[in-house]
Amino acid sequence: MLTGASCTVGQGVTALLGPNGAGKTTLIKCVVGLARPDEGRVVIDGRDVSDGKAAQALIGYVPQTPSLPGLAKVRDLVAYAAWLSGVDAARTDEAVKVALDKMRALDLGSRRIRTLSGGQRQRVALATGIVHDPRIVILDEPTVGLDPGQRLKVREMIRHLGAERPVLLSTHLTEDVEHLADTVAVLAEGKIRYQGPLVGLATTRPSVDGRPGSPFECAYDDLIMSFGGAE
Amino acid sequence: MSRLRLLLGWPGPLWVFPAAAGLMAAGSFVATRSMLAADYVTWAAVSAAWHEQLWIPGSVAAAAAAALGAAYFPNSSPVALPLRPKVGEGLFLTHGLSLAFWLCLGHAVGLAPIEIAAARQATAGALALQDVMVGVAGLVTLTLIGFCLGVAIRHWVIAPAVGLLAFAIMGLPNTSLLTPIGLILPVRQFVTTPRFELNPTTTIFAVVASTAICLLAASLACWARSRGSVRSTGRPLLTWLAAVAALTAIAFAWRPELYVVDRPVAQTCQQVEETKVCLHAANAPAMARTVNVVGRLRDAGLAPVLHRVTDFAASDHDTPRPGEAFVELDPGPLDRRFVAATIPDQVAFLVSEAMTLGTCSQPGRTIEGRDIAAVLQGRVLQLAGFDQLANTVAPAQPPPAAQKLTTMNAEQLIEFVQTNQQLIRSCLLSPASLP
Repeated sequence: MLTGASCTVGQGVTALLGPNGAGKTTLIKCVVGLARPDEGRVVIDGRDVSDGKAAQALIGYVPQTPSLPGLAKVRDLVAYAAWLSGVDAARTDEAVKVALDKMRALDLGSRRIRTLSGGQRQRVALATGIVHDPRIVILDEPTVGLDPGQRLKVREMIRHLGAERPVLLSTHLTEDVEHLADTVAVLAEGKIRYQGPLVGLATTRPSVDGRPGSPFECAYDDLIMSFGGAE
Repeated sequence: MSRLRLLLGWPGPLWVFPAAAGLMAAGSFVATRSMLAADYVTWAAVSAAWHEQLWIPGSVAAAAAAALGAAYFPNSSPVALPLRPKVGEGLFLTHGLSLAFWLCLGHAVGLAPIEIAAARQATAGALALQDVMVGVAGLVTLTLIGFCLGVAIRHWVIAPAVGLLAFAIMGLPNTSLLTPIGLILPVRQFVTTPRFELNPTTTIFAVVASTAICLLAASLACWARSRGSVRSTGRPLLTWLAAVAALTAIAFAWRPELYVVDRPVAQTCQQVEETKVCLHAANAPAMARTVNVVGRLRDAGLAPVLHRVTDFAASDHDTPRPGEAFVELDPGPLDRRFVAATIPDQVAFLVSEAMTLGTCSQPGRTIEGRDIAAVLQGRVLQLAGFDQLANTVAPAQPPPAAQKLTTMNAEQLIEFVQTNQQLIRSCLLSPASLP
């Protein structure tokens, strides 16, 4: 359950970090409109996301471990996402090309989804999330299940996205956060416990002698432990 | 994106929906191919095939739709984002109806051979619009149910489950208690004759019910895919659920006749000496054979009592009048092992039985009288050239007094019938009345 989970996402990559069960996915669902909060609002560029389809078009969303329809061709799937998101039919081909190009997946266009590797699928999933040129991109655990090489490529794509528009990245991998995030929001026990620059967390919680890991990891662990630790 | 590509099943491979249509065509053809072996094909039978023959092909179509629904909308797909309450149902309906279009097209193609046969052979009637409406509505409903359950469950196991469920549900109208289900789903388990047509009111009801079920299926899929926003998607789901429940309750409370007499009844008549033969116009291809058999039966002994032969499909009364025999012509195809597996056999059996045994089930008749009448029927059939039928109708232990009947020639039999026609009509023959 989330209570008082209030945060602001600006330009760059904002990492939503927290242990399993902290409420990250629930918060993401509220943000993308798949769940409705009892109280409060989600506002993007001044528009409430519950206002309907037009407001939803501001959001690009890639869920955790997306299972794409294996029979579809990559280009068709991305075009389908464009159609669902209301992209003008005359602009669809160009939008698909741009999205695939940004994800370095242009050469995959004519292949069927089922023939792709895990990393390629994730890049295609990212392309479906940005094909309608959303105002904000929301990614739920985008690197889970990828091998190290694929993870590096996907991180690179996310970094590029973050340079263009706000990206909200939900993850429990501190390694991803350190490589990608400009800002971090730490969610624990249903509340945002910290929001600010990545380096700020380590500065505010100078830690803990002898613990392995980077200063950020140590500070994060310390913060989580202070609320009872991971579930 | 163009509507044509959506219709072709995009974003899936564009051959999948047309291939489903091909399979449906094959299924519908297999289900109706035996009708091509009938003596002649009536439009009534062809019209009914639009819905009655959906039992197996329709179940397979529902299963295929479920498999495609599960394959097209896998769990956690990025394209799930727009599947929110205000757009989700429309999306599922768009894809489901595209698939339904192809399946209906396949069904129509599969039925084309029997429609061509009917166009060549049938002398009256036409393809009935209400039968096509019920067939299309039923197939669309089965497709949408399958597709949306596939979307909701997202596992291949839903495909055989939906197929079996559809098969079972479409068998339910076969039991009288559950006949009203036939108002909602396409298969009504009715043996068609040209006498009847689908009740127009129930046809409209079926189309309305189909629409409600399709919307319920889409709402269910939307609700299942938006588990996080139950409050938003629950209302339309409950609305359509209530609508379908209400329509089902109405169907069970109403219990109307699914078929009504098709008026005005078209008939064609021909005179065979003093006997008038009238058939439904749709059975005109059987007229020559019927007239021939009636002539043979008259010559074999029934001339004094047989005044009219009426096709039950063309009759305006339910009980035959004195001197009248009803015949129900079934152009088949019939199992050759049946007692009356051809139209001449059917006519001979029904007319001879009506003239000799027609009143033997009435109160006050004796078994002995019935057996004597059966011996008479057998002798008439034998003299008319229907030896096999004669052997079939002969009583196991014929009364010894009736032995004389089995040796009479045609002239003697005619004289006997002429003399005893009142007793024969009343099934009151006794040893005392025999020569």
